[in-house]
Amino acid sequence: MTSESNGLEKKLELLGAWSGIAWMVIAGGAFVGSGLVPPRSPSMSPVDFAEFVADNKYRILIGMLALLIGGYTFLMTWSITLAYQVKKYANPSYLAFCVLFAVGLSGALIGMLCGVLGSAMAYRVEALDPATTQLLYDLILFLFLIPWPPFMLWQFITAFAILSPTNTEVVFPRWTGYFSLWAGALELFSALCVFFYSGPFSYSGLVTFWVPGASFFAWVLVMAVVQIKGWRRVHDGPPDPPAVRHELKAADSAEVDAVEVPESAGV
Amino acid sequence: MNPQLMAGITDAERPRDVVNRRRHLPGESGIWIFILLDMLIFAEMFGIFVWYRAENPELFGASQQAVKPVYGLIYTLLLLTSSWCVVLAVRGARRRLFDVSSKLVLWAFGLGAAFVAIKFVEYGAKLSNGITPVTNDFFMFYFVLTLVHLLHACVGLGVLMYMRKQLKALQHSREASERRMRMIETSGVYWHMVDLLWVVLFALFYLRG
Repeated sequence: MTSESNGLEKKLELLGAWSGIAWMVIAGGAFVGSGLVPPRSPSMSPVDFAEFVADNKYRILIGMLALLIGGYTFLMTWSITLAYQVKKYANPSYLAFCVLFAVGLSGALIGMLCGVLGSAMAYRVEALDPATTQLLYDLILFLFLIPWPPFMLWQFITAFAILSPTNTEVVFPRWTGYFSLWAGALELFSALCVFFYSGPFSYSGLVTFWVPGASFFAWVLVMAVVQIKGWRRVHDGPPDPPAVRHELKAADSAEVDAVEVPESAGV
Repeated sequence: MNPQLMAGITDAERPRDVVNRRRHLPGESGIWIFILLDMLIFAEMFGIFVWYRAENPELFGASQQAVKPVYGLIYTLLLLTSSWCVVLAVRGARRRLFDVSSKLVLWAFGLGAAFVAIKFVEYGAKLSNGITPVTNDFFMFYFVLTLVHLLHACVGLGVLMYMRKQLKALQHSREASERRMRMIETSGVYWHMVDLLWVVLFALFYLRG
């Protein structure tokens, strides 16, 4: 591996970590800017809901475009970087890497589908039956909430890798493992939305929407910040940075020696 | 009950690492982050419940009659006793009484498992009487909050088994003893959180206002 491709890999690693923050800003901005968040209540009348969509048609269309540019794409890049860094710095398990890679991609696809459905919902709102418009909105919220199992798996596998004995905390301190466990546990609330049409456990509810929604965004933000700081510690540190102790032999690990990592490493 | 667990002993008799641990935060710092954040979410749900109850006191009062306090009392006894066993188990581990600690954790597990089993019996009784999470707002909160706590308790049973595994490992080897002891304390802290959350649920749903 040449130093040029090493340099590219390092840059992509840093950019990938930053893309988590970009995703959070763009996806969050897209949902809020489009007016689809805060979510409308499922018990809102279809006519009122269709009127809301018609009044905000172009806001929604532009928001969904932003979601597809920054939301879908950057979640993909960030999740791949997370999987790569977890494998490189926390636990070298190939299987864990594959799981993180796959569930991250599925998360990004969900973002993509939300954007496409939102666009379709607003595109012909004048011609559609209001109940159909509301059904499309139900689909968007259900897509956002009810495929929670892979998201929980994503966060739990990340947590287990960080809490495993092979993690020398060069990038991921152990508290991020517990934080990931917390975020993963909260995904379960999403499942409640299919049973309720109003109140805190409906898809617009203070618990069912905001708890997993906010915790997922917080998880991406916190992990991205940790990844960026960790990258700087590893790549901008002294000329011969301490090596990770575990058995990973990545293609760019030529500079890695078998030197003990100081216990004070970590955010 | 092993008297060494119950009686105090002087610092001169205590191993040095036990003395050093007397004033430390038990368990890993990460578990406290988990607990604080988790309790924040429960606090949110408790707050919403209290607000809904204030909006409709007659409905909530009438519906609460279907929740039998005797169940609450049994759950409280089970979980508090279980937590007491965990406290003694951690204390025993610090004094290297791993065999006793391991048995105490088994007791804690058994009491926790009894909690889970009786909870299913209670749910079954309500469901067979036609009371479901969509019956009204009170039961929506009752089922959701107690179910979320129940899931925490089920995870806690797994954590207790992990705790026992660490105790067994320490019993046979001194390898990674500091890390294992930290994980034992961490596991205990999690179980105490389950217990503490139960106390609030008991007060909200099982005590008559």
